[in-house]
Amino acid sequence: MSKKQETKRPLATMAELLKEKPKRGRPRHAVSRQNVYVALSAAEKQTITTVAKQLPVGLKRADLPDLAIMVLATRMEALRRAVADRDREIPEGITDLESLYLLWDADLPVKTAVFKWTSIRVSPQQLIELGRVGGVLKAAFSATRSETFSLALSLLTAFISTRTMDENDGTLSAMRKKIQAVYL
Amino acid sequence: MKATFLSDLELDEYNPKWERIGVAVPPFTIEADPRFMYLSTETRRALSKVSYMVEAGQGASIIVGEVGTGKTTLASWFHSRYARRPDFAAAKVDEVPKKSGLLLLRRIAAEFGIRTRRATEDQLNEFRSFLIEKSEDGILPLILIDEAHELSPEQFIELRRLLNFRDPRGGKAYQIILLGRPDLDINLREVPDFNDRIATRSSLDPLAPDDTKSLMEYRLLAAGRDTKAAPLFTDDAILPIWKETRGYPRSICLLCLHLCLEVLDADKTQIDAAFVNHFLETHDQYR
Repeated sequence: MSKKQETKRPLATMAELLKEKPKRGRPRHAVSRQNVYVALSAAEKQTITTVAKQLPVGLKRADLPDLAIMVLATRMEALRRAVADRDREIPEGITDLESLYLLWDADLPVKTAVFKWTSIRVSPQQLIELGRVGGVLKAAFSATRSETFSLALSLLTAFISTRTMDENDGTLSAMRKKIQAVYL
Repeated sequence: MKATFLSDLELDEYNPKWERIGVAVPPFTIEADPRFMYLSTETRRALSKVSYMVEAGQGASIIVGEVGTGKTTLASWFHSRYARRPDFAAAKVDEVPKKSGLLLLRRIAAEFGIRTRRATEDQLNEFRSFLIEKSEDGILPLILIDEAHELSPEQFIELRRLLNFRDPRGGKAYQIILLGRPDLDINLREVPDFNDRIATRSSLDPLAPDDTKSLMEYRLLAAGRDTKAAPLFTDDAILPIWKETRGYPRSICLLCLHLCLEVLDADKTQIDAAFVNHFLETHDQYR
């Protein structure tokens, strides 16, 4: 450390607090997202990185949890509507959470014992949707929130890899419309 | 007469002590028993897709698989599950009548408890009346046909006519699940009108060694074996069993049944690779 730096006076506490700090990992547009903690495997974290690069221009990695939850909520709604007049919300042959992956031709999660707790930031509407879908899957298959998010991530991966995105899909509302047009 | 008497006597006296291997009932049988149905990934895929199509009122689904891959067990599973649902009426046809479309309709009608008629149009009218009656109660009729590779083009035409009935909610009124050998897929090409109406196709393939092990463990568990007990089949026994049976569930069950009987006779408690190989060398006619 140089002498010049040693003699430099530290900022007052209030000045330190008021100083503009870079907000890392947050979207530039103003949204009040909430932290949700999920346990993800290394493979799933890698998937997030890969899928983030395939998002349409205008959407960032920070938008990915919202998109994943949108896809899952829409597909669950389609499933609910399909069997709406029957006695069950989930068809007879869907016996566990993996059956949903198989029904929707999504990649099954890689079986691993190593998970890392990760904070994802979710918009209020998607938080409600995550809670609603998570509640159904917990009641039906004792699925945890992390398992619900893993399913959402797998569905988003399948959606992004099989659909063509254009410049009009660069916002969350445009993507919501696109997802609903496909599945509902 | 004497020989018959002795044979019956021997049969009566033959009572394997299943409790010696820690199970309450025989764990391996070649009967299609849905209680023992092991859900491999392919089976679960078929279950989820077909049951979704049935409950969403999408019409016809097909499941193909070679002999001994578990089609009949799956058909029994579907029948047992949907027959007890208050919103479904399930009919299962195990053996397809030869060629005649009317005979097939009459067989299905008998399974539903519908009056059988001698003319095709009259029989279809009976199906229509049955449908109106069931629709009022929100009941969806489900038809399961096993050995569907034996269906003739004429029979497919009658099934297509059943698919043309509409449910008041907008879907297809009769749900049909056809299970058969891979020939079924080939036969369907001859009836494009029916082929185009198939909502989903699934196939049941032979099991991989890992799934073979899981099937054996699952059946032992379902038969009451304690999970904490030492494994009845050691890890090295799996590969020779899989090689001998090529992963076909029915063949696996048959071989494992004989191995269990042999281990009970030999007064042993575990089946390892040497035991399996010795059995196969000395009992090559066990089938």
